[in-house]
Amino acid sequence: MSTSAPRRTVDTIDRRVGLMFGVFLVLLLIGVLRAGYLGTIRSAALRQAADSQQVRNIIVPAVRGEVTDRNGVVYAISEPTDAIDVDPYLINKTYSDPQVVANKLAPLVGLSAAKTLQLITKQGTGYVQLAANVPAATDTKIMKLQLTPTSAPGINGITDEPTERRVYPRGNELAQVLGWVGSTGGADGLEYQFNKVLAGSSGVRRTVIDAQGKPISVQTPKTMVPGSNIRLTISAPLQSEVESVLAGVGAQYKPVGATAIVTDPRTDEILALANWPSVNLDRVPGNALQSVGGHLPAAEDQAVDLSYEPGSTFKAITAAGALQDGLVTPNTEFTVPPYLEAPGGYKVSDAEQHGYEQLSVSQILQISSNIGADLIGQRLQAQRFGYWVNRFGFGRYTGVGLQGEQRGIILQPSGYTGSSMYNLPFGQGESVTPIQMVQAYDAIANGGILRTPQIIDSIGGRHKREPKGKRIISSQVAYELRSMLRNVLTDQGTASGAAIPGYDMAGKTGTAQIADKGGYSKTQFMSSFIGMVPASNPKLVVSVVVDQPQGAYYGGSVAGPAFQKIVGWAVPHFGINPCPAAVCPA
Amino acid sequence: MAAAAALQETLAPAPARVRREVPAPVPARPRREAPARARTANPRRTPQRTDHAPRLALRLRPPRLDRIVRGRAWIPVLGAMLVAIVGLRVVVLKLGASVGNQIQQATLLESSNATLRTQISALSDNQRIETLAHGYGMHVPSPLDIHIVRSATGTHLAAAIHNISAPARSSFLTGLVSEQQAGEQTTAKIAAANGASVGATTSTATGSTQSTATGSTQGTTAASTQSSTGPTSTGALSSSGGTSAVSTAGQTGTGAATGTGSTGTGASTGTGASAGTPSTSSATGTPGYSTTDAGSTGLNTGVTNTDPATGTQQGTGSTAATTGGSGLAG
Repeated sequence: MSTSAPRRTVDTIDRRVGLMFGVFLVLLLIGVLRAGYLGTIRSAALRQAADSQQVRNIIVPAVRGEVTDRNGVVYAISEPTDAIDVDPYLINKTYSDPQVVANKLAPLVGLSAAKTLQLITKQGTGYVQLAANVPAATDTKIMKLQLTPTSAPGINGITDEPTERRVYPRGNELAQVLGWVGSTGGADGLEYQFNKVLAGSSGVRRTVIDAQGKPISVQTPKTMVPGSNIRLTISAPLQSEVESVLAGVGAQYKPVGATAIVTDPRTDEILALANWPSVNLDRVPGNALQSVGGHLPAAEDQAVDLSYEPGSTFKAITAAGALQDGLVTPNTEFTVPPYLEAPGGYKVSDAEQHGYEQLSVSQILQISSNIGADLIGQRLQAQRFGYWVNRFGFGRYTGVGLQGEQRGIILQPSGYTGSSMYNLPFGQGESVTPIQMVQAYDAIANGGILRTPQIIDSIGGRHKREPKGKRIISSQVAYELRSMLRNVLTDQGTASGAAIPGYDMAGKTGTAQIADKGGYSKTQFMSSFIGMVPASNPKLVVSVVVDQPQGAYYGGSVAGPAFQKIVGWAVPHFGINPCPAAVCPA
Repeated sequence: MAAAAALQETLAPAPARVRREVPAPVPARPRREAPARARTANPRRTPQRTDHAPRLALRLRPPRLDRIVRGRAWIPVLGAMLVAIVGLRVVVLKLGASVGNQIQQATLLESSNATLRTQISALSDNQRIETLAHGYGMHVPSPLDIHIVRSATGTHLAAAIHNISAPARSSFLTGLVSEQQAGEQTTAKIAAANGASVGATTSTATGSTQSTATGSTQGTTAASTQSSTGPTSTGALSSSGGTSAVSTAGQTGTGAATGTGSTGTGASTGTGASAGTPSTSSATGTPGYSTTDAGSTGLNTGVTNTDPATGTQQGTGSTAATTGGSGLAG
C-alpha cells in the first residue's frame, strides 16, 4: 500500500510529461511547417517586402569634375544636393492633418504652405517631387523633421534622393568656352566636349535601416567614380578684365559681336578668351544659341567659329613670306601708285588717297597700304603666296580643342583667278578665324614656331603635353617682322592711339569690309587689332576682333583702345616691366 | 509495469559514490637496452627506428586530451566566446550605423566645401574687388597714367633717399580712419547704386597725414572736391612742405587745395580734363625731377615732389608738373 500513492504520482507525472512533450512536439511541428511555408512558398514576397522596408538602394551620382583656371580658381563646380520626394499615399494614410506636415516642410523647400499641402496630398499618385537641388544641410533638416517635440524624427512618406547641381560661380566669364550642363550631361562647350571625362560614373549604396529608420549597415555594391577635374590655361583675373573691356566695347560700339584672345606666345597657352555678347551660365536662356537683337548668339564662341576676312592684319603674313623667301627686306622700297587696276575693272586703293610714293616694306605695314601689300604679294607670286598662307596654318583647324572650331575658307593657288593676287595679299577674299590669326602672330612673336594653341592645362591632374610646334619662319624674319610692326604703334602708324608710353609694343590693325551680295559693304566693317608686348621678347599676344561696330570702324580706333586697356592691365599683372625704345631698341 | 519499475529504479536514491580507485601507475618499462650493433660499412644508411617512442606517446596523450576536452574550463571559455560573438555583432551593427552617419556627414561636408569654393571663386572676381577698392579711394591706374620717371644723377638720388622719412603714427592712423570712413560711405553709395560703374557722383573728403618732407614739417589738411562721370571715390592726403590735394575723378575732375608748409606756402588749383591740364602752383622754384600725375581717371595722386637739388620743399621747393584730373600741388 505504501507504494500505491507514489505510483499514482508517477503516473500523473508521466501523463503530464507526456502531454507536455506532445504539446511541444505539436508546437514544434507547427513551427517547422510555418517556417517551411515562409521560407519556401512566401520566400520571394517576404524578401521583397523586407527589402523595401529595410533596404535602401541609393544611386550615388558621380560628382562631376571641376573646371578651374590655371591657379585653381573655380569656373565650374558641382554641389551635392538632394531631391525631396513625397509619397502622397503614405502622407494621407499616416497623418490625419497633412497641413501640419505642410507647415513644417514649406519653409525648408522654399514653397508656400498652400502649395506644399497641394503637392503632398496630391490624389492618384504615389510620387511627387517636392523640391530639387536642395542643399545637403537643408536636406538633413528635412529628413529629421519632427512634427511634435515628442514624435520620432522623420516624416513618413518623405524621401530624399542624392543629386548634384552644376554651379558657375564666375557667372558669364568664359561662358562660351565652358558651355553648360543639361539634363543628360554636357550641353555645350567644354562641358559637352569633355563630358565623359567630367562626368565620372555613378555608384550604388545599399543601406539597411532599422525600425526607426537609422542605418545599421551600409554596403557599396558599386563604387562611385568622380569625374576628373580640368585645369585650364586661363588666368581668371585677366579673363575678368578682358570680359570687362569687351563689355565696354559692346556698350560703346554696339557691334554684332566681339571677341578677344590673349595668349602667351612662348607656350601658345591661351590666357584669356572672351566673347561679347555673353551669357550667364547660371541662368542660360532658351535662346542662347540664337541671334537676338541682331547680335551673334550669346553662346557662340566667336574666337573659333567666326570666319571673317582679316583685312590688314593679314599683311604681316604676306610680308613674312616675302621676307623668308628673300624677295624683300624691311627696307626694300616699292613705288606705290594711287591705285591698282585689277582684271575685271576692280580697283585697289588705299584708305587714304595719295599720289605715287616710295614706301618701304616697313612703311607699307606701318601705314597699312593695300597697294603696297599687293606689290609685295605680286613679287611673291601666287604659288609662293599660297604656300605661305598654308604654312601659317590658315585653312586648317588649329586643334585648340574648342567646340565648333571652323577652319576658314582659303583658296588654293590652283583656284586663284586673275584678280586674286590683287586682294588676297591685304587680307581680302579669304576667311580666317580669330584663333588662326592669333596662332600665326604667336609664331611671329615666339621667333617663328607655329604651335597649336592650348587651353587645357591638365585633366585629372595629368599635365597635357606641350606641342612641339614646327618652325615656319626663321627667327631673323620673325624679329624683322616684329620690328616693322612696332612702327604701327608710332605716331605715323595706324594704331598710335593703342600705344602705352614706356612699353615696347608691336601690332597690326585690321579694317576689313564685309562681303555682301557679291561685293563688299561700304558700311559694315570688321575691326581688329593684334599686338604683342614687349616687342623685343613678346610675352603676351592680344587679339581683339569687333564685328560691325557702329559709329567708328577703323581697327585702330575700335579694337586698338581695347587692346591698349587689356595690355595696360596685363603688363603689371604678369610682371612685364616697361621698356622704352631707348632701352629696348628695335 | 516494466517501465514503471524502471522509472522507480531510476528514481531510487543513487548509491553513494565510491571513490574510484585510481590504479597504480604502471611502472615504466625498463628501457630495453639495445644491443650494441656494429656499424655497417654504409654510412648513408639511416639507423632503424625503434617502435618504443610512438607507444609511449599513445600512452601519455589520451588522458591529457581527455582532461582537456572533458574539462570544465570549456564552460567559461565557451561563454566568453559567446559573449564576444554577440559583442562583436553589436559592434558591427554600431559601426554600420556610424558608417551611415559618416557618409551623411561626408556628403554634408562635400556640399559645404563646394559651396565655399564657389564663394571663393565668386569673391575673387577682380571686378568686384576693384569696385570695393573704389570705395576706399583706390583705383587701378590707366595705362596712360603711368609715366616713366627719368633717373637723376647720384647726388639727386642720395638727396631723394635722404628725404624719405616715416610718417608719424598718430596722424597717419587718424588720416587712415577718416579715409576708411569716407571709403565706406562711398562703398555704401556704390552698393546703393547697384554697383553702378557709370554714374555721376560728387563727394568730398578730408584727411590729413604726416608729411614726409624734410624738416619734420607736418602737412596740412587737404580737401578735394570732385565731380565725376565715372565711379568715384575720394581720399585725401596731405603733402610735405606745401600741400597736395588728392582728387580722384573719372573722366573729368577738379581739385583745389591750399596749405602751408613749415617754411613755405603753397596754394594750388588744378583742373583736369580727360586729356589733362597742367596744374598751376603759386610755389616757386625749379622743377624737381619727380613728378606724379593723376590722369584722366584721377589716379596716383597725393604724392609729393621733392627737389633733389635742394633736398627740401621749403618755399623755394619744387613745382610739380601735373596733368590729368586732379589738382595737385607741390
